[in-house]
Amino acid sequence: MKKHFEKVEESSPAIQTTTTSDIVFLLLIFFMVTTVFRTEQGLRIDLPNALAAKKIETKNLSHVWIGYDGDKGVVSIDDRIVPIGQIKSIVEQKKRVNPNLIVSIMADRNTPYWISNDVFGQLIKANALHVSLSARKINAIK
Amino acid sequence: MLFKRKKTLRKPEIPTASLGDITFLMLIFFLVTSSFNTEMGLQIVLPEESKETISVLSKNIVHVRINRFGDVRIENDPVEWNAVSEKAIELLNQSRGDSLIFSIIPTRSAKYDYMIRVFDQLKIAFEKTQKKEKISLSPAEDDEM
Repeated sequence: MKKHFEKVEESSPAIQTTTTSDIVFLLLIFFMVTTVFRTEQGLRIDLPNALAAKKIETKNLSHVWIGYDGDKGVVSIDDRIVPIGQIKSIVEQKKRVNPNLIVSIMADRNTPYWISNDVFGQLIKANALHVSLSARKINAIK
Repeated sequence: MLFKRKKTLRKPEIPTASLGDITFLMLIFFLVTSSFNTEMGLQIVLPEESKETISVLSKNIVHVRINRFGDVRIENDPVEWNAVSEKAIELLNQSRGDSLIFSIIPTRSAKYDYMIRVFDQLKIAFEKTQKKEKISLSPAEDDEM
């Protein structure tokens, strides 16, 4: 028994490092799969098509979703349904935080025009004049 | 029994040295091919809310009216919506000096889509003629047509 205890390893213990990259890789995959970017849900809309649609910088963008329910307009900002009359104050607030604000109008193609007309009126009152009308890019008219 | 062949106990091995290369290639591949969804849209600058009205020579304004059926009229001439850009190019080339201002006037119950497609056509017209874009969205008119 005594002999057994006397035996002391002289060499420094080495930890296997060849598999660390595998572990890191697995971790990477795990986080890639599990992370969900926080996205704005908005409303369920069908965007209009446009030939002249251009890419828009998403940096200063804030979305206003316009849909309709029967004759009523439904407007959603930051995933909250807001009455059209309140758009002005919300956008003013955003404009104060970011003076270079561009408002992106995500409107359903079948919405009656007066709803977007009222929204534009609110934006003008809030002095948010840079607007992008979101559309799906097409290359030819069907 | 004595002649039984000695079994080779070597374990079969798959070479793993190049595995890292494969994953690295895959990483590069997905980096290159993945595209973040970008937004497309038509940009417009709304008019400022001003107390005083800016007077513009009325001959420089082209009224483009859209009714609730999607029929387009440019200065009371009916035009097919997909011919708006041609008509607009014609008008832009005719005009001298100050470029024209196109004013889109949809009726209240016209679809948003009708406005967008006319707006799109006008944008194309300005792009093709390389003139400074002057398109305005006027407040909606009541339906009466």
